[in-house]
Formats: sequence, structure tokens, C-alpha cells
Amino acid sequence: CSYLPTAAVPGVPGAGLFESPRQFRGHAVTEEQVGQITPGVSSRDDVEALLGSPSASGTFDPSEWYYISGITHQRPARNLGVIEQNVLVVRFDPGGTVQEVRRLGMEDGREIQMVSRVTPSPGTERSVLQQLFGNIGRVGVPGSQQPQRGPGAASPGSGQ
Amino acid sequence: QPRQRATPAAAAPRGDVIRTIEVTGNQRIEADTIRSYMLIQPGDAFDADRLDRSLRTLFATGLFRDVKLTRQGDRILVEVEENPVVNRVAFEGNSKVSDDVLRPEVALRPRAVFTPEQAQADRRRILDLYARRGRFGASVEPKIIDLGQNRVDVVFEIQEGPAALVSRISFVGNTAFSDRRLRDVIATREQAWYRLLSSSDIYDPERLAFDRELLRRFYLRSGYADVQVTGATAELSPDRDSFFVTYTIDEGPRYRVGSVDIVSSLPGIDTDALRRSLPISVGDWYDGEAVERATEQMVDLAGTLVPFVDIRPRITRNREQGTVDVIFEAVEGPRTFVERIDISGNTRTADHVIRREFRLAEGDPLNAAQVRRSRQRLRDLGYFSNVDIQASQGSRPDRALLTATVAERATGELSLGGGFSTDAGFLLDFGIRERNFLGTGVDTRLQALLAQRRSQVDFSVTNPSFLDRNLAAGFDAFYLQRDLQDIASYSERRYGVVLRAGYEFNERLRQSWAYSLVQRNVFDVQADASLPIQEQEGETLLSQVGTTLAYDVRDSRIEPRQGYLVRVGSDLAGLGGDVQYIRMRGDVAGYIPLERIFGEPDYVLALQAGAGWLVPWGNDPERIVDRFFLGGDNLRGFALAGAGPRDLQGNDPLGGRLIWTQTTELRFPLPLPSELGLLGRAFVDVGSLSETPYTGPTIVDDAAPRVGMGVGISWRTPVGLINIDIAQAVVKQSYDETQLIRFGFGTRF
Amino acid sequence: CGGSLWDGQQESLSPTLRQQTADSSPESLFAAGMEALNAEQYPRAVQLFDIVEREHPYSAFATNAKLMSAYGEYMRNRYTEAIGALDRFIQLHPAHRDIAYAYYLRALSLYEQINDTQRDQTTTEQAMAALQDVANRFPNTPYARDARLKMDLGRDHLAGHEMVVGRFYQNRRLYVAAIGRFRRVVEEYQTTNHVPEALHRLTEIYLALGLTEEARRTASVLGHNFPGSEWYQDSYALLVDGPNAGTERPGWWQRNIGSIF
Repeated sequence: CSYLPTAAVPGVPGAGLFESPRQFRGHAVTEEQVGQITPGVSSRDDVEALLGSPSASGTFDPSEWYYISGITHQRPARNLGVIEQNVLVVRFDPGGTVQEVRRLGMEDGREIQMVSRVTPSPGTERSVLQQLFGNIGRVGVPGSQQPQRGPGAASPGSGQ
Repeated sequence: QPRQRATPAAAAPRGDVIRTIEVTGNQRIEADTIRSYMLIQPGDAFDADRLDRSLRTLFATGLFRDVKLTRQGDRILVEVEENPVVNRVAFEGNSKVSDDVLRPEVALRPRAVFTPEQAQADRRRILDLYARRGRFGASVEPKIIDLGQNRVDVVFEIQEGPAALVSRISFVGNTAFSDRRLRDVIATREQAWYRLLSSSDIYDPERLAFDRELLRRFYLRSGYADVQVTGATAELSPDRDSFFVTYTIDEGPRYRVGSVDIVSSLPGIDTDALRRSLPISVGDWYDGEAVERATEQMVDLAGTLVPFVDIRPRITRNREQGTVDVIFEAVEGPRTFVERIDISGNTRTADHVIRREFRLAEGDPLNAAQVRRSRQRLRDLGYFSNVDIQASQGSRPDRALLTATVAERATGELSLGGGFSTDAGFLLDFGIRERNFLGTGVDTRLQALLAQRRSQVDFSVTNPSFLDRNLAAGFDAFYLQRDLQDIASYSERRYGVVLRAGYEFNERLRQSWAYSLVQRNVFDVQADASLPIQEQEGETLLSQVGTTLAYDVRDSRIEPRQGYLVRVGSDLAGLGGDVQYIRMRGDVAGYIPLERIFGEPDYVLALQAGAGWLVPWGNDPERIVDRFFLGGDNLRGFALAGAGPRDLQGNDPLGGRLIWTQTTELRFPLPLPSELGLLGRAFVDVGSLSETPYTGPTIVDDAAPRVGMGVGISWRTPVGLINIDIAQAVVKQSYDETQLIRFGFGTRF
Repeated sequence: CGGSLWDGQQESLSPTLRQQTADSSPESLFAAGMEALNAEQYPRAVQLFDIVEREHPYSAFATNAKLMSAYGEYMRNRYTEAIGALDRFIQLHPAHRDIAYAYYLRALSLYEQINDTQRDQTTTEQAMAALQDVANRFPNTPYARDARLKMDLGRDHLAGHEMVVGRFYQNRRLYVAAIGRFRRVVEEYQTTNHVPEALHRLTEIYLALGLTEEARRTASVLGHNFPGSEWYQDSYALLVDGPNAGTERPGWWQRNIGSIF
């Protein structure tokens, strides 16, 4: 058998040296799966059986199901680059049968700037010093046995 | 055995109401505590069954040695005998195992309740502990000393007895491999004088089971697909103080690979792309582990093409031709999505520092390969002693919950060290480093070194994911002063700042940029130094921007055993500053595992090669401090800057603009127990340095390669790391400075 | 009994304390302990109470000593030891008159160990469970009222953690993950003050995905329930004026520098 470290040389097919592999995000739905949903006929269970449970439903309106998916890849020196982003909207009428199926692509989305303000939470903001040295007492020294059992650990063991 | 005479009350006509419950015999425990445990309360109807059950609950509390419930008219009389309180737990006679190893094993603790069963249970736990350390002859006797007032001292008297060693290991049924070869494969070792400190020669039943697995995997790797390690028996030797261990193996036929194929029922998977990456070829000996590795690799690969893919190897053996057909089936994996990723245990590290290492996010398809890589990336951070990611069922059938539990490790290091190295002489170094500053993932480090011929202060801050982006940013401020009087008859001082930035193209390719602004000063040039050195005296400012591309496919950055690393880079000096040059540099390091030949994973062949070329431009050429030097670490067998262009008049090395080096090094474990942390190496270093800018009668500049060969040992002692290299300069120029022994010893405390 | 071996514990080395207290009665020991507590010499108080408990386990003071030593450990911020002592007290004296205080002190010891929203939240969940236990077992005691208040703070804390993770994913445009987190805040932590922000973030995400009517519906719920909140003004601005007219638009430079320090 060959000694050369072949196992370490995965011939990545097609992906160039600089290319970052694409990554599937969210709940992708193929064309022919969508084709099988017929508005007016398929019910909620048909859709769930066919596509699986939705990524999200309307916040306060359970009659809309969203299947959100995308493809991202890593970009040098920046955060994730989104190549593809699509949303499948399935709208049900009150009776629970599919009323309408819509697809939204990346072009429908708007470039939104996140508001930088944050609601303060009452968490105990640890002082810098406490964070720096707060860990010394608590973190077990690697290789020490499991933590002392029972309360007797701290008090003096012997007494006449 | 405690006297459990529980006498349930005589059967009485039902319907009477109990007026009171009286408790007698209790000393430490209040009566109403006992009543609160009873299932019958005053005012209830009398009921024998509930009486019996409350008797059992009282016993279950473990507080009482004996309980008697008797009924008198409409009163229930509860007589209890309390279990004593443990005042002190002590161990006597334990020399091989210390008290604080035994104490956590024992459940009896000061002020806890003493029960005879607990004492017996603790005795068995201590015996198990000794059995695990191979001392089967040990005996333990718990002695109870009554102190009055129902308080006792518990003393475990231990006779440890001799450690049972393994004096002979033999194999039955092994035709393909010799006994000696198989002895290297298993973990248990035969008793030998040099294994005094090691525990590998102590008889341990659990390790026998582990040995069977090692043997099975070893045979599987060598083509014996039907191997059965049928037995691992140990009998006591005639003189009863050691064991003979025998392994019986049924090897079965040796198989070659008949045919390899990839079948895909999924669109979007082009099987020939996968086939190209197959490490198994027809005609090879069949290797079970290689199939597992190939499957894992192909799942990673296919995962980038189609979201839900699972690859299952189907192996069909045909005994007659002795061949195995391997068919990899790509099938649709289960369509599960990650519902939530919960991180726990991070008492110091911030959530986003961990979450940004995850290759998948909530809502994404669950992909085992990415979970594996996420766990590996978290381990590579070095902030945690343990990382574990578990998947569990989510709120809906096609949803999974990922729970990552991490155990924080002290990432701050305060080190004060002393030592000696051939280049710098006796040295004292001080370092304070916090790899995970305030849990934000920022690595800050302050390093100071004071040595006879060198003093250095370094302060560096690096944020591996600046703004949570794929961008590592950092800066260093440093001061370095080196006394090279007896090597090159001048001293050198540099201080400056470096701004760094780096990013990943993908898991293997990374690029980093660095801008350095450094003030350099060559001073104390000796009067008799060579002319070229004398005109180098003075201060110069370097303003240089440089970049490096690194393609890293090694299996680990700290102790690589497989894979390779390629780095190419270039530096441009001259955007301001006093020197203008372009410097190209590149190096390659390959690691070939020799485990298949020697059976030990620590045998590794490391091949390294590097080259550098410096080209001045403009009218301010580079200074001596910028040039390459050969000898010392990059060419063992030669002194620091001992090889390369030299001015014979002052016997000073001048450095060169063109350098290449090559190293072949075999790393091997020494036959000593692995706990000692001893690793040996044998190496051949080759290198050449040329193109010095000076000419003259006494200047020699010969590009002929120099060769140094030798052996070395690195020893991780509890006190510090010791490195010794003994190398002989085999091919050299007459004027080169050689150095037989290089010695480095650094200790941290 | 056998020779008294030095068992390696540092405290037992100090003979002075042991000589002083070897013979004195539990009452005086207990009183000395209480006095040390009032003088805030907690280590000494804990030691005195432990001696009472060990030397005179049968006196009535032993039970109170266990409780007081736990209080001493709590005041010394040694919460794990305090919880250990309280567990022992609860197991041995479930019907004690101060049992409510023991449960309450145990819940407080857990509550004090809550990390901030960026870090591990298991201690918060344990504290919430212990506080809930106090509120259930002793409903009409002052401890229950304080426990309910602390539970609100704990819930606000957990919601804060969900928001931190939600913003992390929204920053990286992983909208499915972000929706999941913000929806959880809206559904399970309605009483916390993070709900307005969660609703606004959902509006931002739905607009980024192109689901304009869903964004409008969410913003209207936000407006209806929290009319005066700044978050509603942000959502309103997003829906009416278009993407970049929000009140607080950080410049590129300020946003990056802001996140370093």
C-alpha cells in the first residue's frame, strides 16, 4: 500500500485553490417539490409531509408558512457572503388548504441597516478584574480529581 | 448486618383514629422531623399498609440503625436507634495510593451518617481502586472506633500487597505476524527493568480488552477482514507473583481489494469527482480503516455539493478469490435541520467567541462532517480542556437540538523561566500571557528575555476574529538587543511596531499581511572588524509591508504527523524608511506517518525545505541586519551564522541575499516509557547561502551547499523542556564555523 | 482512639482555636459565632459554627449552627459551600421552623452565581428553578415575594441571552436562526422588556427577506403594544421612509470602532 499521505490530499474537485466551499443554509426546497403543491387542494399536512416543517410561520398569523434558505461562502476579511437567498411563502385559507404559493429571491429583499441600540439587560456586568482573576479559584487544575463531594471539604477534618 | 427487625403493629380493627405519634430513642434528629417522614399523621385512620410504608421510608432515609412501630390503643409508638455520626475518616497502610486519592472514592465523610452498608460499599470501592492499579492481593478492613454520644471514627486499615506484573505475553494462531511484532501493537508490555516507572507492565484486565481491540484493528488494517481475536487469558505464574497473558487469534484469509465503485442515487453528485479522491485502489491489500477514512472524507466532499447526503460502504467478501469488493453508496441522508445550538459551560468565554467557530447555524441542514469540524475548531482554540457536541431530538421530528458543553481551562499563563541556549547563553525569561482575554478570544502576551548575549521585550495583542469577521487583526511592539561581538564583532538593537492582519480563503488556505516599522541600530563595532561591517554602523529605519500565503493540510498544528504545509511570501521595504528591497521567501514542510512500518504512531518522517531571495531596488540597498544568515537552527552542525559569505580579514559573516535550506528528519519514540516524554530524532540538514554584495580579496562567497548530520533528543521533564542536538558538519568550507552540540533548556515555574 | 494523624487540612494545624474552644459549652460557642457574624468576621464565624456542630451534634444549637454557618459561607461569597451546608440542613431538618429561610438562602446562593448574558446560562436556569421552588413551597412568606421579583430579573436575563444570540446571527445575515431566537423571546418572555426590540428586529429581518406585509404586521403589533417605545419609531421609519432613514444610523467607522472597545 502506498506510503504517500494520500489520505491528506483530498483532490477537491473543481474548487480552485482560493475558492471557499459553498454552504447550504436554511431549508432548501426544489422546483419539482413546489410543483407538487396545488393551491386549493393540498392541505397543511400534505405540505408538511412534502416539504417538512417550515423554517418559520407568521409571527402572529399562523396561516402563512415560510421556507427560507440560502447559500453562503466565506469572503476574505469580511463576514459571510450571501450568494443566494430565497423564501417560499405558502399561504393557507382559514380552512387549512393552500391558497397561494409565492417565491421570493434575493432581489426582493432590502438592504437593512441594523439599529445599533441595544436593550440593557440587568446581567451582573463583571468588573474587569473579576473577569481576569475570577476564574482562578473555580477552574479545576487540569488532571485534578472530580470536585470534592459533600460539604465537609472546607472545614477542618480532625478534632479530638 | 443491622438488625432489621421491623415488627409491624398487630392487626387491629380498622376505623380507629390515631390521636398522637410518640417518638422515643432519637438523640440528634427531632421528633417532628421523624413525624414529617411518616406517611401516617395524627388524625388519620389507622392503616397497616401505610404504617408499613412509613417504616420503609424511615429506613430509606439511612439515618436509623433500627426502627420499631408499635400501636398502643390510639397511639403509635416509634422507637428509633439512630445511626452514629462519623467524626473522622482515616486511612492507614496506604503507601502506594495517597489519602487524597482515596478520600473522594469513599462516601463516608466527617459529619455524615455512618451506616454499616456504606462502610462495606466504601471497602469495595477501595478494593476496586487497587485492582485497577494491578494490586489484586490488597485487603481493606474498616475499623469503627466508638467515641461515645453515638459518634464514631472510621479507620480503613489497608494491606496493599505486591503489584501483579505481566511476566510473559504469548500469541496463539498468529501466522502472518511474529510474536515480537504483535507485542509492539498491544498496550500491555512485558515486565522489564526499564519499565520501573511505567504502569504498562502491570496486569490490568481492562487493558486486556483494549489489547484485543488494538490487535483486531491492526489485522483489519493489514487486509485480514475476517480476523477474530477469540481470547485473551491470564493465568497466575507458578511462583504466584506475576501473570502469563495469552492472546488467541483466528486470522482468516488475507484479502485484496477486488473492485471499488461509487454509486449515487442522488442527482448533483458527479461520482468521478469523488472517485478521484479515493485513497483505495484495486489490487491493494484491503484496509478496514482506510475504508472508514474514505467514507468520512467523501461525506465531507459530497456535503458541499448536495445538502443531505450519506455515504455507506457496502463490503462483499468472496473467500475463494480472496478479494473484497467495496461499493460506496451515496444515498439521501435524513432531512433534519438544526433547531437550536445551546452552548453551556462557558463561564468565561463569551458566547459569540464560541458560536463563530461553528460551521453551521440554527436552521441549517444537520451535517455530521460540519459538526465534527466545529468540534475540532473549538478544540484548536485552546480555551477548553474538553469540548463535546451532542445532538438530540428537537421539538419536531425533522428538527435536532445541538448542545455544546465546554469545560473552561485556565488560559492565563504567568511564566518565570531560566535556562541556557548556545546562541544566547544563560537566560532568564518572564512571560505573562492571556489567550482568552476577558473571554473575548483576544490573545494578549507580554514576553521579556534577559540573557548574556540577548535581551528582548515583546508585547503582542491578536484578535482572531476582528468584528466577528473572517479577519484576524493584531499588533506587536518589540525591543531586541543582540550582542554578536564574538560572532560578527558588532552589536545590534531593533525596536518597532508591527501591524498584522490575516484571513482564510477556506479551511486550508490562509493569507496574512504585516506592516513593520522598525528602527535598527548597529553599534559597538570592533576596531578590527572587517570593512563592510564597519560601514554598517549607524541607525536605519525599515518601513516594510509583507504578505504570506499558507496552504496548510497538516493533521495538527502542534504535533503534525501527516499532511503538509506550503508557505510563500514576499516583503517590500522602501515605502519611506532608509532601505529599499524586495524579499521573496517560501518554505514547504511534509510529514509522512511511518506507523504502518513501525506500528508506533510516533514514528514520523519530516521533510522540510525553504528558500529566500532578497533584491534591493532604488539607491538604498539593504543592511546587514536584513540579509539571510545560515547556521544554528536552520543548519545544525554549524554555529549561528557560521556558514556562508565571510570576510576573512575580520573573520565576520556578511550574510547573503540568496539562501536555500533542506532538512530530512526522522522522529521516533525512545524505548523508554512514554510518560517520560522523551522523543528522539535523526536528521540531515543541507543549506547554501550566497550573493553577498561585497567584493574584495579577503571576501569569500561560495554557494556550494553545506551539509550537517546528527541526532537529537527532546525531553519534556516536569521541570521544563530540554533539547539537545549533536550534529557534525559533514560538507563545509574551510572558513565555516562549526558547532557540535546545540543545547536548549527552558523551564517554566 | 487511634493516634491523631494530621490529615493535611491547614486549619486543623492552628491549635490555638481548638484549645480555646475544646471545653466551652455550645451556648458560648454559638454566641461567639453570632458575634463574629455581626462583626462580619465570616471565616471565624463559620469555623465556630462548625465546631459547635461537630463537638456538640446533639445540642439544640447544632441545627441552628448549621444554618448560620451556611449564612456565613454565603456572605463570604463561597456559594458552593453554602449550598452544600444548606442541602445537609434541609435533608436533616425538613420540618425546622426556619426551613423556608434555608430554601431561600440556597436559591440566593444560586442566584448570585448568574453570569452575564454573554456567558453560560445554566446557573440562571438552576437559580430560577430554586426560586420557583421557594415561591411554591412557602407562598405567603416575604421570601416568596423576593423570589418572584428575582425570577423576573432571571427571566429578563434569559431573554437578554436570547437577544445576544439573535443579534449575532442577524449580523451575519443568517436570518432563519435570528428569527428563531427573536420569536422565542416574543413567545416565552412576554413579560420582559426585550420584547419591543425583538419585534423590531423581526421587522428588520422580514424586510431584508422581502416579506413586506409580514414586516408591516409585526410592526403594527409592536406599535399597538408599545406605542411610545423608540423601537416602534425605528420600525415605523423603516416601513414608511425606506431603508436608510432610521433615527440611529451608525457610520461605518463608528460601528467598527465601537465594537472594539
